[in-house]
Amino acid sequence: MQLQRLLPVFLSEADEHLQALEEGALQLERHGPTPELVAGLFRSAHTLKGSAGALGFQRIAKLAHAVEEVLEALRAGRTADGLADLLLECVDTLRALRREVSDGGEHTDVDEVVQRLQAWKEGGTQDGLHPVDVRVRLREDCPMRAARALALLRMLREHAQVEQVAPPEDAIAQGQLELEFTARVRARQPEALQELLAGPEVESVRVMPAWEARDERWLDLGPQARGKLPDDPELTRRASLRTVRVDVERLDRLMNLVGELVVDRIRFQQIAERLRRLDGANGLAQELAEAAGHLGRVASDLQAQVLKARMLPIEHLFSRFPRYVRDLAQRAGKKVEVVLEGQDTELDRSVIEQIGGPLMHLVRNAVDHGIEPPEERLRLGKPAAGRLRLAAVQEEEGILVVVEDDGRGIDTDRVREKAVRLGLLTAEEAARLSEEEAVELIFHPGLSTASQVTDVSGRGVGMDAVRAGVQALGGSVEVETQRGRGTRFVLRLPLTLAIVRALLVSCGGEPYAIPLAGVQEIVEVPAERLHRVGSYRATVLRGNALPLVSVHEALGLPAPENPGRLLCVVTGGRRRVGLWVDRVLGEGEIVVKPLGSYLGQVDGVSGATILGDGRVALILDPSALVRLALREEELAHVG
Amino acid sequence: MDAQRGETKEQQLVVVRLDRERYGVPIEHVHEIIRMQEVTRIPRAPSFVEGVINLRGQVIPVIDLRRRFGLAAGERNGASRIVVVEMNGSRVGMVVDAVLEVMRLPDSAVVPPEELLAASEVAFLRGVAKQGDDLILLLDLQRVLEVHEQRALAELQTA
Amino acid sequence: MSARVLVVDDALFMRAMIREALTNSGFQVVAEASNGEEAVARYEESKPDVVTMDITMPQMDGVQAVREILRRDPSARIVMVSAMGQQALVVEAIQAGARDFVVKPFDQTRLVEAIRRALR
Repeated sequence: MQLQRLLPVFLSEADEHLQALEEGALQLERHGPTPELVAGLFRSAHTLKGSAGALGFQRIAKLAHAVEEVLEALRAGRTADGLADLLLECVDTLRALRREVSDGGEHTDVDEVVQRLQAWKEGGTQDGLHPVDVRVRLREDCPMRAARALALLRMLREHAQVEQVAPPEDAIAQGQLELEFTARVRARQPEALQELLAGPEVESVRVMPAWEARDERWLDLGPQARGKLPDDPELTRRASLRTVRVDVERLDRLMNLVGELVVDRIRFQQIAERLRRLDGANGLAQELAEAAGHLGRVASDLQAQVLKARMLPIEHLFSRFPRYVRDLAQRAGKKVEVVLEGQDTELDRSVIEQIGGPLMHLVRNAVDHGIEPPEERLRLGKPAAGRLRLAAVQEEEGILVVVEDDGRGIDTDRVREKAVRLGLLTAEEAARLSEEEAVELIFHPGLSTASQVTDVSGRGVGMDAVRAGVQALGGSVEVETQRGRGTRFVLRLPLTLAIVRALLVSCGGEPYAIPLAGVQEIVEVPAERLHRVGSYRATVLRGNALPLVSVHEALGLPAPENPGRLLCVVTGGRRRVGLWVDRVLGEGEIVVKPLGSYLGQVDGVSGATILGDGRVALILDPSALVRLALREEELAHVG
Repeated sequence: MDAQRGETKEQQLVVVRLDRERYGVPIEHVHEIIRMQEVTRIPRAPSFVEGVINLRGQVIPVIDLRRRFGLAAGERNGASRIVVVEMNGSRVGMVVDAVLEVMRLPDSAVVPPEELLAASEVAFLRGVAKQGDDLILLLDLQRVLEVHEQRALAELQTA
Repeated sequence: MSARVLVVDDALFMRAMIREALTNSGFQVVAEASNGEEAVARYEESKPDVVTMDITMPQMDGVQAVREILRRDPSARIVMVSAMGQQALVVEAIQAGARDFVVKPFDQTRLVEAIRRALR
C-alpha cells in the first residue's frame, strides 16, 4: 500500500520539520520575530500539514494548520509574547503524534492545544489597533531622502505603533535608502496616516491592511527558489542535492556484509588449496588465491568507506541540547545560555549515539549543580545567566568534545568528605590527595556527587557510568575544575570505530595483532621441513619456497631464543613470508588506535590496539612485514 | 583554566631526579604523573624511546629521559615515574628516576645555562636555577621532544 | 492666534529672510538667536510654539541645541535648516528629536509648509 512506502520518508522529514520548528521557537524567544524566521517557521508548518494531510494523518494536519494560522497572525503584526512556549508545546504534541503514527495511528488529542493557539491569535487584535503596511515613495527630487524618511517615521510614531521598517531604520540612518520605505505599523485610524505623511517631497503614500501585503519578502517560495534566500542557511543545506538519505539499517547491513566478505576470503584460500591438491600443480589454484587476495583488499577498502558513510556531523546530537537545557534550567530556576561550537565535526554514528547519554548527564550536572541561581551569580559578580559550552574539535587522533560551564566548580572538600564517609578512603588518605586526585574521585563508582535518580535507563547514573561509557568506545574523559570559576569535561573520542578483524598472536612473549586480510593461513611446521637457504630459514609450502622470519626479526627487534612453532603465512602483494609465532591467542575485532605523530611512521606497524587486559599490542602491517623481512634477507645475502 | 597567565614573575616546576641531577619541568605542560607500567616496545625506534603505554584508552609514546640525555640506563624501582607532558597537541610520557616536588621559582633566580654549565651539557636546557647548594636544571621541552631530530634518527636506523 | 516662532541662525541675513517669510505667512517671530547657547536661553524666556534652527553654528551647534532644548522641554517643536551635503547632521538632529527640516536654498512655501507640519 502506498502508505507503507511513503511512511518512512514522511517520518524522517517530519523529524526535520519538527526540529526546525523547535529551533525556530527558541530563536523567537531569544531574538524576537524577523521576517525570515517567521517565513521559515511557516514553511515548516505548511509542509508538514501538506504531507500529513496527504497520508491521512488528520490530527497532525489540524495542529500544523493551527500553527500556520498563528504564524500568519505573527506576520501580520501580532506581537510574539508567550508564543515560544506555546509553539514548543505544539512541537512536543506533534512529536508524540509522530511516534504514534509510526506505530499505526494517532491517539493524542489536539483539540485543546488548537484552542489555545486560536485564543492566542485572537488575543492580539483586542486592543483596537489595526495592523497596516505603510509604503511611502519619495519624489525623485527630494533632498536628503534618508533624513526625510526618518522625519516621516518620527511623525508616524506619534500616531501609530511602528513595528518594523524595511529597509531597517539603522540602514536608513546610514543613508541606505532609494526612494521607498515601508513601515509595518498598528494604528487606531489607519486611514488618517495617508494624509499625515503627505507632503511636498512625498510622491505617494499607500496604506494597506497587513494581511493583504503579500510582498516577495514575506511570501512562501517554492522549491525552485530555495537556495536563493541568502539568510536561510538551513534551507539551502536541506535543499542540497549532494546528499542522499540512507536508512541506518541499510548501512549497518552493508557493514555486516562487508565484514563477511573479508572473512570469506580466507575460505577462498582454503578452496584454492584443495583445488591445487586435486589438480596438481597448475596455475588455477594460484590464480584463485590471488583473486581472493584482491577481493580481501577491496573488502577492507569497502569497509573503510562504509564506516565513513556512517559519519554524521555532531550537530545531530548537539542540536537537541538548547531545548533540553532550556527545560532543565526552567525547572531548576536558573538561567543558562548554551553555546555550541564545532557543529559540523563528524563522528561515527554509533559513537554519537553512545555519547548522547554521557553528554546529557554532564549537562544535567552542570545545570543542576554547577551553575548557580541567578541571584547568587549576580552577587558573585557573574552575569545572571550561566554559560554552558558544548564544543567539538577535531584533533589528529580523534575528536574532543568539551562540556564546560562557568559555575561553581567541583567542591573537592565535599568530594573528599564523601569518599571518607563511604569508606573508600581514610581521612588521612583523603587529606593527602592532591587537588587533581581528589577531582578524579568523582569517577569512582559509588561516589556520585549528584543524588538524583532521574536517568531513564535506571542504571547507575554516576560519573563512573559516564567514564565507562566513553571508555567502551575507546575514548577517555578528563575533568578540569576551578572553585568558583567552573568546570570543564573533555571527552576524547576516536574518529571512527576503526574496527578490524585481526588475528592475535604471541611472539617472544609479546602480543601482536595481524589484520586478517593479510593472513593467508596458519600452519605448523615440523622440524624436518625446515631448510636453510643461504643464511635464512625457509620451508616449502605447496611447492614454493617460503622464507621464514620471526616477527621480531622482521621488525628489527632482537630475535627471541625459540622462534615459535607456528607459522603465520602473511602476504604482501605477490610475495609471502612465514612468520614464526609462539601461539595464536585468538581472532576477533580490534579497535585500531593511531600511534601518534611523535613516533611518526613505524615500519611494519600500522597502529596499536588495547587488549582486554589493558596491554597495548602493536598492529602489524602484513605487506610491510613481507617487504621488511625479504629486504633483511637480501641484505643478509649481500652482506 | 589557567589562573596565572602572565600575572606573576615566577614559574612553577615539577622537579624530577635523573641520576644525581634535579631537573625542572614547567608545570603548565605536565598532564599527569603515573607509576611505571608495562611498556610495549616499538620496533626501530631510537634507543631513548621506551615504547607505548595505555593511558586510559589512549595509546601514548614513552621515552626514557636518561637515555635521551645520553646518560646510562637507570635502575627502575618503586620511585620511578612516568611524567606525561602535553606539547603541541600531543602527549608523551617521560620516564624519570623519581618525582621530588612541585616548586615555585622567581624568574629572577633563573640564569641561562651557559653561565654555569659546559656547552656540551646545555643541549636540552633553557635555564638553570640555584636553590641553596643545589642546581635545578630547567628542561626545554621543545628540544627534549624534538620530533624531526628523532625522525631523522629513526630513518638512519632503517636505512 | 498666530503661532509664535523663535528663529536661530548665525547669519543676520538668513534671520532677516526667514523672519520676513514667516511674518508674511501670518506667523509671529518672537525672538532671534545667533548661536546654540543663545537659542536655549531665548527658548526658555519666550517659550515659542516652534523653532527654526540652523544646523551649523559656533558655540553649540544646532544638533546640540536641539538636545538641550528638548531636555528642558520635551514637547518642543524644532525645524532644522540645513545646507546641502549635511544629511548626516540632519539625520542626527532628527534622531535627537527635531521634527522636520528644510534644505537651503529653500523657497518660502517649503519653510512655511514645514512649520505648519511641525505644529500639527
